[in-house]
Amino acid sequence: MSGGDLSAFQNLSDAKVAAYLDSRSADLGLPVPEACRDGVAENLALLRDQAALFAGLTDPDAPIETFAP
Amino acid sequence: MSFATAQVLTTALREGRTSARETTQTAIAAAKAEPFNAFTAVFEDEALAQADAVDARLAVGENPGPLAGVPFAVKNLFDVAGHVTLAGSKIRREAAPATADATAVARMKAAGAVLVGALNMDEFAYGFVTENAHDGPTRNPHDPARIAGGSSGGSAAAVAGGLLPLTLGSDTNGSIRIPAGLCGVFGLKPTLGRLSRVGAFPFVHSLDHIGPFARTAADLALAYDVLQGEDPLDDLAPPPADPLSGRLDALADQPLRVGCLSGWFQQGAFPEVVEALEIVADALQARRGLTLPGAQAARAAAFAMSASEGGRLHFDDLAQRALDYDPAVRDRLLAGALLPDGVAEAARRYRPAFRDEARGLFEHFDILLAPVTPCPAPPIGQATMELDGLPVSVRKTLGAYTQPISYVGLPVIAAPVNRPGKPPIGVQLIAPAWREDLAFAAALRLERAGVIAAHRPPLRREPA
Repeated sequence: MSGGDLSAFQNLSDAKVAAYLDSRSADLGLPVPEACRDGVAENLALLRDQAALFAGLTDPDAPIETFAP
Repeated sequence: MSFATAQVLTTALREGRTSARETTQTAIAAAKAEPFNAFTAVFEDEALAQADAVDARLAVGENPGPLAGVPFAVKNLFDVAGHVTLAGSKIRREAAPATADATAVARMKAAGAVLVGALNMDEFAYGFVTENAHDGPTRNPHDPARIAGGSSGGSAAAVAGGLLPLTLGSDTNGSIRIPAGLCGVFGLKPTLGRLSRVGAFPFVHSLDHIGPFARTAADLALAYDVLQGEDPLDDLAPPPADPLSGRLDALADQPLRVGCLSGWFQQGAFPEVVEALEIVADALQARRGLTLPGAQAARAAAFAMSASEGGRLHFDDLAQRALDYDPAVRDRLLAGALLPDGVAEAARRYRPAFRDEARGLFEHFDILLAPVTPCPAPPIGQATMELDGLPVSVRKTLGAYTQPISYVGLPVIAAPVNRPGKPPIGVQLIAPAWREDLAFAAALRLERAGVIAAHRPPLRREPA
């Protein structure tokens, strides 16, 4: 899965989160210590669920506006 | 401890009833003996030197500034020249000392305020509890068994506990508003870009704000005025200062159209939180039942942006020494660093859409009300709590009502509802972008009507 592949990330099943963690960690050169793996996987699953709440609300091809309040 | 306001202290100084040195000595003594674990450092020698300089200027008839002789302290993510900027971490304990004060610190000092120390926080500002793994938890002055909130927990506890009249903190997702609400003091999160962030250790560049804590709305305005102004070093280009302190009476009398947010902003709220919100809504004759469409999505987007930007900021340290992070912070930063780029992009893309929803409401209202948190301060160490009958994470839930608002950078005063003898509960007074004056108008009116107030914590006997 490429770093920018939002839909693939959103479609990860709980069982596949750990595999994503390993592959993304290897791609980025960011080792995840064994002691952290469960916590990181849990947070990735939470972020996947959160992303589902907003990712479909905008056009993914639209330019990102420089935000001003 | 002293519960004198900044206004009272500076007036006493100008009238010769006290000196800056005397006031500073009192604050230093309180900081050294405090039972809340609010302070992580006390700058005794430098503070006394600053106080002496204030006294010397007064002695020759000069005006040391609007905060002359007022002691203050800052969340330990602000640069203070000559001191290491910890940002609540272990990793930065080996960093070089800051070579200059943060803009906010420099402005407070230039106004005559005296910096007495640095304050506890969640590591790298990533949290709502200030249960710091390296420096220990900050205790809520109203109940030391309970959290002060975070991430600016030390800043709120120091003001609530009568250690200082003013402190500074930062707010990315609620980190000024939540501790202000749980500790029963006033906190201002200004419009994104209003106050310079230069010299404040970043967490999420797109969402970071800085702001003051105080025990009265007038003190909050005094600090806000001092902190304002352009700063060419800040890429958000803060605008010229628009001082409010000279027109507080007019603000307090200003007519306001007020709406009270429901839906997401009351979902799961404890009954006493809704009751406190209703007291404020009644006092401002607020229209009830307003919804801000997209609030849950906005909260989720802020959550994802924080993880992603925070993870990238810390990438190198995470790669080399992840185990030196606070475990509660580390796992979230690592997960954020591993996110695909598309998540943060989608979170940024939704931001203007939600901003426009808020703008739509502000066509009809000057102020929107919402609770600060779903509950009063939970006990220290409590990992989960029940909301709507379901167990949820305390750390991840406390920001439910604050995150949508900071996601779009709106100015908010977190104000303590007047509930003497009961655990503090805060309400968000949310104004349109760049209209901090309206948030102050609401706070002043409520304070003068006795609806909001910062109370002294109950006296507690030390164990025998």
